[in-house]
Parts: sequence; C-alpha cells; structure tokens
Amino acid sequence: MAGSRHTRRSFYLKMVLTSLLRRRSRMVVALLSVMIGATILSGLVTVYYDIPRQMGQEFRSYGANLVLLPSNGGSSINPEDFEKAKALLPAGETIGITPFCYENVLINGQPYIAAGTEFAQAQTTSPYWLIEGAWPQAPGEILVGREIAETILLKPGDPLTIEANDYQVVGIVTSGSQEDAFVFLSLEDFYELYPERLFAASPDGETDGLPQGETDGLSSIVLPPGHTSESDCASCHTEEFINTALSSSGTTTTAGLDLVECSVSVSTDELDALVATIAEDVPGIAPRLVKRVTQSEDTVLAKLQSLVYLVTLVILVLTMICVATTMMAVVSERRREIGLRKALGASNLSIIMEFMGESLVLGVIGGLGGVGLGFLFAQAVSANVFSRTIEFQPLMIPFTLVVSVLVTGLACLLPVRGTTQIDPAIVLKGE
Amino acid sequence: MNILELKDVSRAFGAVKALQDVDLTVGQGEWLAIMGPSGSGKTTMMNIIGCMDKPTTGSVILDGVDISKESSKSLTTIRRDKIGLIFQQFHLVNYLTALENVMVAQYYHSLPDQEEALEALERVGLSHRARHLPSQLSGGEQQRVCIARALINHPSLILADEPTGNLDEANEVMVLDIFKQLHSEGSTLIVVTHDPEVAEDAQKTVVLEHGRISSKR
Repeated sequence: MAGSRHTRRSFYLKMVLTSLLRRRSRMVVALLSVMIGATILSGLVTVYYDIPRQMGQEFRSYGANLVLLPSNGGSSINPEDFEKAKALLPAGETIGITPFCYENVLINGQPYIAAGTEFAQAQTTSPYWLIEGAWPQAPGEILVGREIAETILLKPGDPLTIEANDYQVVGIVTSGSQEDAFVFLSLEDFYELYPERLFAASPDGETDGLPQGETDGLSSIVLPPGHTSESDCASCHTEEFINTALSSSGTTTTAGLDLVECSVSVSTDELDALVATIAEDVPGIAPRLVKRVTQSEDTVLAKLQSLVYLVTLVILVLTMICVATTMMAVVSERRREIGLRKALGASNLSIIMEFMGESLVLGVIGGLGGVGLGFLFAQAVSANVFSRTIEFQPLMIPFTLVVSVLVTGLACLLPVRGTTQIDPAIVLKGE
Repeated sequence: MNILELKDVSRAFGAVKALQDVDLTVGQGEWLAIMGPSGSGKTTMMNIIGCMDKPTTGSVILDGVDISKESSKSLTTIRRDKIGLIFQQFHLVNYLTALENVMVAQYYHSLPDQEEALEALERVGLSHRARHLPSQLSGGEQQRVCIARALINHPSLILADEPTGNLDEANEVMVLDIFKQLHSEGSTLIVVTHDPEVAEDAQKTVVLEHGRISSKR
C-alpha cells in the first residue's frame, strides 16, 4: 500500500508541477505577484528589524544618550569608578566616552566656566558642535565658546591668558547651548590649571552641589544643589544653575570627574539594562539616560516601524488581490478541464487539492525568490537611506515562506471555491 | 441481462421539456446508437445516462442501481467506476501528454499505472505517441487517446457523444473499427450520433425527436 500511495502522490505532484511548468505564461504572472510581494515583505521586515540598529547609529549624531554622575554619596567620580563603568559599556557599540571637569574662571574680569575634557572623545559624543577653526591637538590649545569669543573678540589663532597661564585659541565652539559660554581645555591643561582637583579629598562625604540626580538634557548638564530629579529641574540647563552648582561646590570637590558623557549605540531597553548594571556594580556612579535623546529616538523609531508595518500590510493585501485575480482567471480558463476531471470522477476535494497544491508551489517558489530578492532590496534601501549594509536574518527564510504560502493560499481560496460550482454536463457540452 | 434501464424518464429545464417519458433498455454487451436532430434531447439523455444529470421524473437503473435517486457525490463515484466517456471534442488536458491523460482517469479511479496506460494506448494504436502533447496529435489521434482513457478503468458502459463528429473519414473508420473491436470483446456501447453510417454498425438504434423516442430499430 505504501508503494501505491507513493505512486498516487507522485502523480499528484506531477500534475501540479506539470500544470505550472507547461502553462508558464499565466503562472508566471501569479508567480511574479507572489515573488514581488514576498520580496517587499522580506525586505521591509528585514529593514523593520534593522531600523533600531541603523537609526541608533544616526541618532548618535544628537550626542550622548547616557551620562555618568557622582552618586549621592560622592561629590565627583573617582578614576577607579570611571574605569569600572567604562568596562561595563559594550565595546563594539560605544561611540564615545567623554569625561568633563568644571571650574569657575575669570577671563578679562568676566566669570565663565572652564571645562576640562578629552577632545578626541568630545568629537564623538558632541558631533553637533560647530567648530570654527580646529579641534585642539596639542597641549596649550583650547576651544572657546561663541559667547566668550564675541564678548572679548577672539578668533582662532588668538592667544588667551587664563589665571596667568597662556593658551592658544584654535577653535570657536557653537552649540546653541551652554557650551557657548565655556572654555574647553584638555584634561591635562585643566589639572595643571587646577592642581587641587587632582589631589583634593572628600571633606565630609556630604552631598554637595556637584552633579547628582537625574539628568535630562544635552552635554555638560549638572544639577544644582537640592535638585535630585529631572522632573523638578525643568530649567536646569542654564548657565545660572551651573554657576550656582559650581559656586557652592567648587571648593569642596574631590579628585576625579564631574560628569562623563557616553554615546552608546544600543536600544533604549538595552540602555536601561546598562544603567541598572552600572548603578549596581559601581555604587560611586549614578548613571542616567539623557531622556530627551532616548525618548526622541523611541518616538522616531516607533513611527518609522509603524510606517514600515503599514506598508508591509498594504503590500500583502495587494499581493493577495493580484494572486486572487490571476487565480480567478486561471480557474475561468480551466473550466473545461475542471469539468473533464469531474466527469472522470474527481471529487470537489480532489480539484481543490490540485489548485491548492499549485498555489502552495507558487507560494514556496515565490517565497524563496522573495527571500533572496528581499535581502537585496533591504540592502539597497539600507545603502541608499542609511548608507550602511544590512545583516541577513536567517529567520527571514521560514518567515517569508510561511507568509507567502499563507497569503497565496488565502488568495486562492475564493477562486478555488468556484471550482466546486462547475457542472461537467454544462462545460463539456458538445458544439 | 440489462445493464441500463430507463423507465418513464423526463427532463425539463423550466418550461422546456428536453426529454419526455422515455423508456429504454440496454443489455450487457449491446451496442446502442442514439440518433436525432439537434435539440432532440440526445445530449440530455447522454448526461442522464452518464450520471452528469438527473431526470426530473422517472428512474434510471444502471447496473442494478437507481441513479435517479443518488446524490451528486454518489453520481461522481458511479460515473468514475462504471462509465467510460468519449467526447466529440476529445477534452484532453492540454498540458498533459497522451499517456498522462490516460493516467488521469486511473488517478481518480484507483492508482495510476503507467504500464496499463501504455497498454490502453497500444490498444488504440498510439503507444508510439504516448509522450506527445494533445497539440502535437491529429484529431483522430486525440480521439483515440480519449477512447484509451475511457477504457482504462474497465467500465461497465462506454458512452460516446458524437465520437466521429470532428473527424475526417479515415479517422472515423479507425474509431469505428475500435468500437467494433470493443463490442466484439463484450463491451457495452452507447453512441450518440447524427451520422447514419456510425449508427449502422450498432445492434440497436433509437431515434429521438422533440425529447421522445420516435423510432427504434
């Protein structure tokens, strides 16, 4: 019996495949419909799942999305904790880690803020800074904020004396934010200018005015004393608050860093996990998400993904309509053949199985073609829109195949149902 | 022994009476020709005998079973098991070879058997054309494939509707020779035709006019 069944199955397959192969012109149209649908489906779903990674890279141009602050028990981040936290950041996904130290400074009798930082890192975490001139490369070279430069008429190449030390202004920073009123020095120059920041010890461990609590904003944001969360700090991003913080804390800071900006190209969920890990493993550091950045990322990503989802849905419906129309034409063309098969003793179920078999083959071939073409499509979209390559997702093979077969099967249901209504006596009537 | 018995069979399509009070018997191994002009009810009668239609009134006993009372699903089974159909327009599946066309009938009946299908083609002198598509065969050859397909499941009754209607004289002779051979081997044949030459070879002829049997020979 097993051999007999095999023979029946073989003949069934032969009929289905022969029908597709020898009636190429009509079936090519249906196959193209399925393949184009599967291509767009597979391509868009690949892009859909790659958008966070693709956009994550793009979003990093908005600056840091994670800041490290001293925890409530400390007044600054000590170098040991900083190294520990750095080690917890995912190496491959970390775009930059920029430390900052702040001090009040008088320039031409006017109070400004001196910020010590690592310029190479600052370029990665603050790519939106507009630099007129160049980034400092050597000791003694500094950046000056646009506001200071305009007040005291500085331009790149000009000398500037700060607390009896001579520096050369190599670039003017324009950020549209509080950085415009900062003077940026390298950390080495900063510690040379403020040697007490290297060796000072924490006086009493009490919370002072150094950065603490949640941070919501651009780089170099510090919360003034008494502010512990972003909710009560709607206007924290002002020079006034920064100055307040510094004036109350500057003389009592301990060695180390006031703030570290991190730009990490991971999803918000992964960032949340990272924050939890750092907070748990490095008690001296209070990691905070820069929520304005992460929330915009989430919003943009959600909208983009919804768009892709909708387009995919529309494509699937269009594919179904196209396949259904083609199959209706096929059934109409084959009315006599269906009538003949019924006259020869075929049950309605047999006829349905034959047509569904054809649609299954169309779905599988179209789906397989769609996976390959879809990946090329996703690559093209990724290259043109995001200027990046995309990773092939092996799961797309079964996913696209199953969806293609389901869509083709569903599209064929209505036309195939029509075959049961065909009366052999009518369609085989002689002339 | 009668293989087919029509008792008082009528078939109406709305107000049109295609068959009226037809009584007919066909014995085992008999060759019956049904003649009549267009619109006389030949095709309606063939559809009823071929289990593709049911009479409005009357009964049709085929091989001991009253098929006028059967459901359309049962009629499909009876048609598959007991009747071999031969059509004027051959009705071959155009994307299947001659051999595959014969095997289709086997597939719906029991099991496709290539050897047996080849033998059926051999019987109608077409084994050498077994791998050809219908479009590569002449009209006569296509009709012979149709006959091979009708014979493949050893039906109780072979029902042919204008089998020579689309054939030239040479092919008509060839097809009639096959019918003669089948008859001599004991097959029961009912041939619907308007061609007196085709009816000449039959043992019995009935003539239909306006849905009634007008004469029997």
